[in-house]
Amino acid sequence: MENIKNNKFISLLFLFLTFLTLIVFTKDVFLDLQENIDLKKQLTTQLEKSKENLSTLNTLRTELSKWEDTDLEKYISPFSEDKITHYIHSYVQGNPEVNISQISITPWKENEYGFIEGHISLDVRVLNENALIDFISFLLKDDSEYKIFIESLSYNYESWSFNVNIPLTVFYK
Amino acid sequence: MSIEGDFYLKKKDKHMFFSIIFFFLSVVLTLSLFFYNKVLIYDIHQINEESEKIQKSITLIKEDERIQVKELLDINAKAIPDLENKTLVLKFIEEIKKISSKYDIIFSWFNYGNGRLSLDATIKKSEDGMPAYEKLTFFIQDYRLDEQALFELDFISKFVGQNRISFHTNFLIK
Repeated sequence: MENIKNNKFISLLFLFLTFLTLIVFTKDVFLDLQENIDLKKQLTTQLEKSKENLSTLNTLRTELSKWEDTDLEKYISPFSEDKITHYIHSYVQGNPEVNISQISITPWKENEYGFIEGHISLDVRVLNENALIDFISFLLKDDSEYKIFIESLSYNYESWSFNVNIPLTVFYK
Repeated sequence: MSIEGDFYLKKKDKHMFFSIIFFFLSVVLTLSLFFYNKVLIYDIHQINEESEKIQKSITLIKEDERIQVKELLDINAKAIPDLENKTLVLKFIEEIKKISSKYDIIFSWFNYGNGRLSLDATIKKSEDGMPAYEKLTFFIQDYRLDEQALFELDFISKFVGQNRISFHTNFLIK
């Protein structure tokens, strides 16, 4: 009879210990495990994306090193007052058809496209419309030093030899 | 001991046996989960290290301005060409010259901005006697039907004069 009581006690003890182990230890370890499984999955996906991104950038770097993209080079041309002034005057120097009255340069800011945007306002006097067209062609030519947009322009057709303001928008990085 | 006593003793032995087994299994399970968790933590650490190395490489590559520009151009693959189309001033000037030549119109005050071109225009009676109003109506009708035209001719609301008709015209970039 005493044996039976002892065995019963031991069984209950072990059951209690089992229950305690499961509640106190196993549950916590299981929850941690779940979290870590999810975290590993998430990090693995992120790692794959990063690898893809790196591969794309390496391919791009290799392609860009093979040839010179003149359009691309315009965006990394240094935007400084001395270089801009020198560039513009290099065209009009010795050119009787175009005369620079004023160059105004507005400080730069980042635009919606991610580039830094500078504004240059040119006040010029041109001999005629053809001289104006030639000057604008110089500014916008394919191998121009800067990436220039002319978003507005206003001048009087009828006059011979007229003043015109040419607002330039320059994108650079 | 009696037979009944033996029966109950064996039953209690069985219960004790199973309770020990359960306890043992719970410990084994807990330890297994624990060690698996450690392996996962190690894997996560490895992944984080590799990610950091890759991020450093990416940052290094992106320091190249040409890469930065190329990325921006790719992101704005439609937006920048659209902007370029709206700023083709030389093309607009050329188109106005064509219109002037084709329809015998004298333009003045070229004024372009925000996708709209405004000009003052004058049409005179021809030397061969063609009235100014006929040249004017031909211009309006013909240009609006021209599918190759660079602009859309906006509605013209005022005409001044008879043998020499002056009007203000707006062209919208297509």
